[in-house]
Amino acid sequence: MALFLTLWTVFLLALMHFSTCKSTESSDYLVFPIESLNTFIRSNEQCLDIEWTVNPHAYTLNLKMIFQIDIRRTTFSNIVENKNYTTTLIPNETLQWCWHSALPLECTSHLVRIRSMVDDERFPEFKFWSSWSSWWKSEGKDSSGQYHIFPVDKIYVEEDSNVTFCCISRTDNEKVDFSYEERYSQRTKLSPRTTMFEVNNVSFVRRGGSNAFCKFNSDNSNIQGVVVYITGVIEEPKNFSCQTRDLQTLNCTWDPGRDTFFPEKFIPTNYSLFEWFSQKKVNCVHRNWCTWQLTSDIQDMYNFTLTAENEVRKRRVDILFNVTQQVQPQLVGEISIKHVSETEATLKWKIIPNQKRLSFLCQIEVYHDGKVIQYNTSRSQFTLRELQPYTAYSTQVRCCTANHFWKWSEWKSKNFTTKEDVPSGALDVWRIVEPVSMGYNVKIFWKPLPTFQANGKIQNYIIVMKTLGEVHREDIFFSESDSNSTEKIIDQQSYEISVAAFNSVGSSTPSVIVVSGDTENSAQNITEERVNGTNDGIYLSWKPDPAKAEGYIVDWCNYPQDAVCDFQWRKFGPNTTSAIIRSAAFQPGVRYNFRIYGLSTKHEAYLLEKKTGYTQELALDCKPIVTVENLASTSLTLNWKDNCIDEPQYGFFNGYHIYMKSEVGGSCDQETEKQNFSDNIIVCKYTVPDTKQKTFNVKKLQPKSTYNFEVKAYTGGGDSLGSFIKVTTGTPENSNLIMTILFPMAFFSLLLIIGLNLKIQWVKEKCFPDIPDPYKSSVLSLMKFKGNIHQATLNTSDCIPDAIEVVNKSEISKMQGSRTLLMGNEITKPAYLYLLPTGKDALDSQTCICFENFTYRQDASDSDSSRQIQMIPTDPTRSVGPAEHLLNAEKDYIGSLDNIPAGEASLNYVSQLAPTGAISGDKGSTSSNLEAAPCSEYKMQMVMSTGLALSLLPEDDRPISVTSLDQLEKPC
Amino acid sequence: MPLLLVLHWKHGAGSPLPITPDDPKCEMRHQCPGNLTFQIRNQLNQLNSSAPELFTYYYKAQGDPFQTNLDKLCNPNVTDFPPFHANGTDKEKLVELYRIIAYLNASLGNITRDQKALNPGALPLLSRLNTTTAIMRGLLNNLTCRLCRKYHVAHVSVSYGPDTANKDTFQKKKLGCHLLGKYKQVISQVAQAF
Repeated sequence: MALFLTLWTVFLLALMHFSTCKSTESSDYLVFPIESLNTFIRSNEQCLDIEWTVNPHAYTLNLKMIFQIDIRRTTFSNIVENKNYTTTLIPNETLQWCWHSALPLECTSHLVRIRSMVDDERFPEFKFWSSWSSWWKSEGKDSSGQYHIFPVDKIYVEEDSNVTFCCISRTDNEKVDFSYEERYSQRTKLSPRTTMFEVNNVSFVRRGGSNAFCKFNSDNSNIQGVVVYITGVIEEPKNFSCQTRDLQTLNCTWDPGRDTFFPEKFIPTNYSLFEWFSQKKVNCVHRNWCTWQLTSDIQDMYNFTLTAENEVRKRRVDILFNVTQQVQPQLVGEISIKHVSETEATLKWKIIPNQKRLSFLCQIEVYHDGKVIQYNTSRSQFTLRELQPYTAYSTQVRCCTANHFWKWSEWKSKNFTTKEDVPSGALDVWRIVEPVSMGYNVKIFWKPLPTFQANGKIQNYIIVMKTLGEVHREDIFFSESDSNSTEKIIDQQSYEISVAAFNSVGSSTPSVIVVSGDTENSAQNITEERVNGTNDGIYLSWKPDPAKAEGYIVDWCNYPQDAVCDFQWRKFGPNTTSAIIRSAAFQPGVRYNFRIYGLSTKHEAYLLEKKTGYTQELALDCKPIVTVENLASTSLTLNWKDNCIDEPQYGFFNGYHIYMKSEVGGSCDQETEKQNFSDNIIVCKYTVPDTKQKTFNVKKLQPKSTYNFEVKAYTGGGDSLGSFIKVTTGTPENSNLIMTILFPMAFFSLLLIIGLNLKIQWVKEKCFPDIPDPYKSSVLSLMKFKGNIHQATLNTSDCIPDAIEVVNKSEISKMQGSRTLLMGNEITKPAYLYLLPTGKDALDSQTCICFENFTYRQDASDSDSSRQIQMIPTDPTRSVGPAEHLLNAEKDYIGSLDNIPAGEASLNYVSQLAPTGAISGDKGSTSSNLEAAPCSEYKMQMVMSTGLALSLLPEDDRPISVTSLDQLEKPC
Repeated sequence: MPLLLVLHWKHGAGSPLPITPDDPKCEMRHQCPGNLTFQIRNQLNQLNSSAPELFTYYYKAQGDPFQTNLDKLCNPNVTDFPPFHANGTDKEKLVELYRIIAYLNASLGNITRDQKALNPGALPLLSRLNTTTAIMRGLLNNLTCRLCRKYHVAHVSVSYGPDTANKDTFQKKKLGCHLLGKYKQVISQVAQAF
């Protein structure tokens, strides 16, 4: 034993010594150059896998070391990578590093060298780089002697990234062309056989990929290509979450983001779930959800990593959760209903996961009649209370975990109906009493019980009629469940009528009314009042009953014009004295009649008031036809006929409106209502408030004016149709004018005529004597005016007649009608017998003015006063001596008389007046002569017999009333 | 692999076999239609008339450089394509036609499979590939009947082109184009020979 201990001690000492020596040696030389170096090409990852080793002692010391790695392409290239790779050496673990190259590694040879340095805190003093390893060459395909394009096969590239291709020719310096979707590519000659092409920012073109190809030789005889697929960048999955419905299967979902352009089967994006606690992995079939089988009761915490990856990229997202807090429970099976009674029902359901470590909160919703009531419970059953009998209910239940809310389960629904119960309340009963020959016909109405009072299906109604007289009699009737009225004949007695509803469980409280015919007899004395409708209905008010009624009842018919009038009633309390009666059946233009009853404590009803009215009055459906009578200049009478009656109509018939429109405009008098229309037409409206009145006098009209009249019947809803009539008033009354003015005038005129006839001689003497009195001639007044007052009387001896006019009476008449006497040669003039010689000289020297005295002419007695005639000779040959002149005149005149019938010739008296300057019409030319011998006096008048033979001028030598100046001067 | 490849392939088969009454292929010959020659001719005419269009749809679906380099990428240079001698006997021509159609049928199956993956949106091309394959299957059946009934040939050794499953994508496109170019050329000669 001692020997063994001795040897063991020696062994340990030797070992310690060896270790110490070794350590010392190593401390001196803690530099570990690369002992072996090797490279591999992983084409699919474009990875140059570099593996190397150092002295094994470095591994045993678990040294932390830095390795500097240089990589260059071909021997002529600069270093493309200088990497410091730090790692801690582990025994039996290969030192390895992957260099990813943008250029496909097959394109050319790559050279690698490595050196090392200890970077361990334990040996800070030994940080020295080792020597470089020799270059290790990874051969490319450029020495293969074949045509190549790299990368080869299909490649996947994310959009907007840069892609590097290389074309390798068979021999050195061959002509190489490269093409990719007609994109520019930067060309770089890497070696005599290898040319690199870089395409930047590639974009998606089509799902089928794009061809990138190299053409070699001048004739492009060889083409090598590769198909490039552009993929969208994989997005990081969003909204990654997991939940369980049963604590057996976990369902994880996420939003994968946008499509990466590729069909899933072509370039799939793989999704996988990795759970760190269990170190299990599941490859997901779908791109947005995955399932995971839970191990029950063993593990609650889960730490998942979701990985999305494709050929190009990999994305990860993590989630850590307690699975018991992410439970969405579910209700399995149907909800069962237990213990359903009239007012209660118990619901029961089953929840999974059914585990004791989980508690749940459940929500119950009960739907009925459009309302919902919500209850909560932590149990799996719940009793609903205070339900309505015989009522259908709809319920639904959902649950969630109580300790940690995650999600509600889905709703589960169940419908049920409670049981029937005895009807509650009493029927609303009313009646109509109508006298008939045998007594009174009583119609009893009732309203069906509402559902909440019927408490079941009403099977029938029971009506009990009991006399209230001395002789008691009771009759019982039944009515069907769908009826709401019945009809009985009663006598003069009062009856107590009770009505009750029955369902399968029992009867409602009987409703009692007392009916007596007397109550209806009193209705005859009640007058009907009109009421107005409102937008809501018809407003009724009544006087409070002095007998203190227990309540009031208003009844009416919804369809008063129909045989089945839909009888209605409403009951009011004793304090109510007004109400608005509403009904969906109310229509505008329909008159509704209301009766208001008071109800005594003995259930007796007595009529209080009667009302009638419309919800809205409409215009009458009639058209008065109007006629006009007694048309005068300022008034007329309108009559009309119509079929407008008070009932049945569309409103209360109140009377007529008469519209008057004047075509000339004007204003309306005070009795009318003036209506102005937009087109400035003024219409005057008369109102006739009597429906019986069919005539109307219109006054204060304008004479000779046209009016339009229209008569319309009116109600509160407006006017009916009307017919127009157009009337024109007459002129003012002429008969009165005739009677008052013209008739007296005519009368007095007649008297005047009679008087004049009786005094004709006197008038003649005064007004137009046969021989006028020269002293009364008006000429005298002229003379006086001239200042010759001494010659007030015309002296006939002073004048010598120079001519005598012989006038044929009949021709004179004609000539006077023409009013052309002595005005021209062409006109037949009275023939003159010139008694004095005439001549040109005389005429030229002096002209005289002759006045024909018509008073001496028989035919001119009623002619105008004497006219001034200027005699102007026209024929100079006629200026001869007086004798000759007279002879010629006589000769001519005899000739002319031959043509005058005997008896028609008469005498005319001709007065000759000497020329007078004041009267002369040619004053200028004759002034000197007039001054020498003024001629302002009448010449002598001569009466000549028509039978005397005289020489007269022929008719065609006229005018010839010219006298010789010599002959005229002297006498004047 | 297409179904025909499996059905028809027999190890060591290289030439028409003698009549074997027990051969199950020829036991079914009573089900063959009577107008076989007419049907074969019609089917060949159908293939011949549709081959140029199929070829055009194919190379257009592959994109550049196929359209612009038909002579290099789509020339009818298929080395192992079964021969056809138009001046041979009817039986020899039928046997050679059988080999050609079997070869084409298998190759069209490969092309259809590749194009479904490479150009899933090229529906007109895929439709024509399916139609052509269906006609070829019918033609193979008719040829089988004809050989059995008339010449009592129950088995013909056939060869197939290279499987493109492991080829790179561009190579698949190129091989398909070569084959369809060859098909267009050969089917014209065969149709004229029948």
